[in-house]
Amino acid sequence: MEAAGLRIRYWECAQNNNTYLTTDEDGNPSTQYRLPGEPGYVDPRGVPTTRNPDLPAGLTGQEKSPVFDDQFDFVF
Amino acid sequence: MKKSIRNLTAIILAGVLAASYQVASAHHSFAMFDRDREEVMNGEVVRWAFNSPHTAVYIRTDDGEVWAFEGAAPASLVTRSPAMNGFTFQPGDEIEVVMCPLRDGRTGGAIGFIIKGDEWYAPNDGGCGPNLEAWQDWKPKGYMSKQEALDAGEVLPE
Repeated sequence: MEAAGLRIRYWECAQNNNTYLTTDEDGNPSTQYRLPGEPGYVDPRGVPTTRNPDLPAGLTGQEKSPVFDDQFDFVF
Repeated sequence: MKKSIRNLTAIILAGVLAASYQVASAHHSFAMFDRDREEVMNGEVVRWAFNSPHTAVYIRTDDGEVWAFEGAAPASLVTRSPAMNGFTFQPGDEIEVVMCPLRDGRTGGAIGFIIKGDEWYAPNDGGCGPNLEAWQDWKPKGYMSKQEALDAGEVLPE
């Protein structure tokens, strides 16, 4: 990971997970996936707010996601 | 003394069970994705979320719909061949996604492969497991789904 210039922050999971446990039509435990625009959907765009403060400022892979698009919004 | 050893054993067992539950509940099933269906979708990347616990690629199709596809975690993708990172798919890139759709018909699914130019990326997780050799044979022939290929007499490699 470090050779690739990346560090993954595990606390990201709580902020980016769109998979959740639910029950199916028969009442059995099941799993579902939230899509943009649905209640509870979280928007995974890179996590600039949780950047590890101990890392060097210019370390590749730690900056705001290069595909973060401020102009794009999911419209349904 | 015996009683305190029994109590200690009970406490340790309770701890182990609690830890096991945490591990088991930390991941999820892929029941929402139909792994038997493998379909090709084309579109323009609107977002590539290189985030834990799952990456996600969002594309806009020609008819304007946005589709969302779940992939494996970043930690896995940087070790695959070809390796992927947060720069691999950029907004505006034209890509094809071989995917396993959501069973309930909503506009999402699990990533199988992402084809960008001549490169075949495999950011898939347990939600979709297409056969690379088969698809690299089927795709140039124009098949847009596994079922279509099988109906035409194609067979999966041994």
